[in-house]
Amino acid sequence: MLYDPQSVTLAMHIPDNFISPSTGAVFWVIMIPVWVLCFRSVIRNSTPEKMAYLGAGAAFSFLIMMFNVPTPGGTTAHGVGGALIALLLGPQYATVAVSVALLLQALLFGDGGLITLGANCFNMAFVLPFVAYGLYVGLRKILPDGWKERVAEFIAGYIGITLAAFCVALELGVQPLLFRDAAGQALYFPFSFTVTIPAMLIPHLAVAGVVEGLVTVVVVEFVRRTAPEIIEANARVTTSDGPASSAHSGLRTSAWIALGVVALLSPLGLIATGDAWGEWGAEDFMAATGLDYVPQYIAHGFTWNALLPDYSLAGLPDIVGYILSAVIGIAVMTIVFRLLALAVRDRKAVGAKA
Amino acid sequence: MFDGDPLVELSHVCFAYRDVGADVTGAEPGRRAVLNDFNLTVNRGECVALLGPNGIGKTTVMRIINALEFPTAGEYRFGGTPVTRVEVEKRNSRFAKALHQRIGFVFQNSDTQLFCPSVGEEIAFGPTQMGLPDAEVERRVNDIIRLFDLERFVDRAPYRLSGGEKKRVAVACVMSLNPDLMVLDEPTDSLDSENTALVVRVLKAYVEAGKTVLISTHHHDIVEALGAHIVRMG
Amino acid sequence: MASLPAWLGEPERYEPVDDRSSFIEHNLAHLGGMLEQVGAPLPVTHSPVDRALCAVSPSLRIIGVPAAIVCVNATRNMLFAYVMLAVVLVMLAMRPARMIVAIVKPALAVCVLSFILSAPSVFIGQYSAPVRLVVKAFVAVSLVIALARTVPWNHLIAGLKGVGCPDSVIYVCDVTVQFIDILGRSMVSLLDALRLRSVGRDSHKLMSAGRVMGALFLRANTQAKQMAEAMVCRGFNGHYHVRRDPLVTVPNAIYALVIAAMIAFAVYCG
Repeated sequence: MLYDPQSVTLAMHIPDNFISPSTGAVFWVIMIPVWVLCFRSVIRNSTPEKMAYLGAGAAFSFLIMMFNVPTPGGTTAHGVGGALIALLLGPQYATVAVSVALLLQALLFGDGGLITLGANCFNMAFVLPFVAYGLYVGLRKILPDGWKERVAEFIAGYIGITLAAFCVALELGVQPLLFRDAAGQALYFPFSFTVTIPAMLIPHLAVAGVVEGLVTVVVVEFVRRTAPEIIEANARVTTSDGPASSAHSGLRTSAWIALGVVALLSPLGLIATGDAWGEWGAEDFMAATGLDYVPQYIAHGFTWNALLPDYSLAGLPDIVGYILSAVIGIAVMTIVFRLLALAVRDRKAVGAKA
Repeated sequence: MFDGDPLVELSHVCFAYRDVGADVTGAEPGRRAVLNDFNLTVNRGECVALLGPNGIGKTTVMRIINALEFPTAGEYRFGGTPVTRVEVEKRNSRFAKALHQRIGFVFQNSDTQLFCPSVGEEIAFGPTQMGLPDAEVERRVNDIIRLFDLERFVDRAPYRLSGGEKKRVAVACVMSLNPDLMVLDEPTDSLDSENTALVVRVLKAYVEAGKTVLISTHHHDIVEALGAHIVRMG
Repeated sequence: MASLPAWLGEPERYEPVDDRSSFIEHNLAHLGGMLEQVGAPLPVTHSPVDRALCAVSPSLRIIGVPAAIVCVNATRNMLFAYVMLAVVLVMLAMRPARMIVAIVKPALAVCVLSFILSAPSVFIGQYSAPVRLVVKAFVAVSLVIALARTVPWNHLIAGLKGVGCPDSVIYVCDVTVQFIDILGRSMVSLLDALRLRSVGRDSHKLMSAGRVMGALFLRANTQAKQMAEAMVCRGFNGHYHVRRDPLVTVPNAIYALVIAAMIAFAVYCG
């Protein structure tokens, strides 16, 4: 391995500087209501017992996220374990546990950034567990008996991590469209969607998703065989008692609030990070030091529009790219929230049946 | 390999745990010395009991014998062959695998030793790894289950068992590898008198069959029951 | 009791076969390094920089470090990033060698990752991205790791109160770190157990890895239950109060001024 595995544990951790502070802030704003609601729903009346279980769950998440999983050929790979944690603990619980694990990773071990913590939590502690749990609950209902548990677990892990990777690709890919200096040089992550989406999705669809799915199946089946009451209890906790369902509707509300916030912040971000930031001095400094001198004709030859030939956007102003990415982002989030709502409905149905 | 005598030979072994956190301060890395010029010889067919107060290094000696730790000074030979970090930590070391088959280690805490979803699979894990034919694996598992009186638990999860039952399973799953040396770290801690009697009987028969046993304990009655040769530490 | 079966009386003639597996060793090495870091708090008497910084309350530093990272992150003018790099390097140079190693290793790892990820961008005309990302990554990571390695984790977590974290969240973080230590050791033990019995070719490695994780989960559950019971027995009523350090002190004021100056300089650089 080329780098110390301790410090760069996961391909999914976005380090600081890869995304703009404004993007980081947007995700912090999205995550705060999610955290509050999930934390409240997990720890409604703060009994010491719940604190201890939450701590153990977060520590388990932390350890699982750094676990090297064997892959064919004798090498090892990092899973993320978000789907596994969601199926074992329940999605709100997983959100809190994984977020605490990510916070400690960032704060105590310098893994993943502090500014990007909101985005990392959004991908790994929110999208991944809720999508995985929703798929699991939904698939368990529609699949025929027999292999349904295993198939549902596999798909939950596979789709969950792939979707989280897709979110990472979107967050990184939007950076060069939004944030460039006057010479067209990317200020943060330099590659656009045409690179980030295939770069994140192909390995996840082909390898990482499969590993995550298999690990989810193996571990959940292990726990189901040895201590089925833990999995069932977790399902009961989230369905049978009254306040939980109100927390779910609260969650849905917060999701719409978050969407609204994103929609509002998008133009704000444009104003704040666009031309308002003075660029004087930058080129002078670069030219003077020769540190990253860019011949003008190359800089002009390679505007971001040239990177996106398929989108036929050449010549259109920046704002189009911005709005395009905002639309994609909001659409993806809407899809995620719709899936969450589905999971909540299904869970209620399961609870009613039980 | 490993067929020489004596079976276990620790000569002038020193060991110190690296004290956590001390390595980034600029001071010399703090080390907590556990063993200092420790010598131990265990012959084949012998039953040896390590006695001594807590924290004297009994577990460390056992971890060194199992090649989980390596002496900071001195030498450890198993069956006449020196056991070194280089040999054991080589990638996919066959040396390590052969050594691990020769020595069975029963941890002090069985909770963190058992990792299979059922007692049957737990016992079958070792023989399956050894690549024995299915029929032979099954025969061994059945023999061991009868030997340790575990028939009732075959399909139960180790997680569900009581402390004493877990310990019995732990001894059983290690013995299914048919090691030359059984190392047991305070095996009677969580055992009641009945379970202790069963484990002692099996271990005695094991020694009588020519195998070697090394245990650490605080209880003199089990030492007497095993007729073990006593090594005092500290 | 049944008598000893005949095969147990015979010495085992066993020759291990080749197997390609490294996940157990990988994980053990990884866990060992992590547990060492979670261990005892570090004395910081050897470095003048850290002695001075330790007088500043962790709450303030938890605001200051992200502020510095945001500034480095947000400024377009690389002048600011290079100035910060110089500051960070000077501070680093004043630390003891072991500490430098502990900080530079993970920081360089992130730099290498940043470089690998961004280097191909020169082919699409993005010449400044590699330099930008690598320099900024080094500043950000070394700031965070220097903070993590010089302030004991319990102070650092208690300092989260200063940034508005509720007591219950801080308490959960505290409990989590303790559990990371406890469960990390359980995991080491489980992996040791797996290693000692993996004497041949494991044709179901993923299954074995999954079992270790599953066993760890059950262990987490048991430990959580025990801790909860112990807390109830000791009269814990679920309320946890984090002591708040006095914020208005001379070192804090100086630190705040330095941070404010840095922000002003960042805005000036643009």
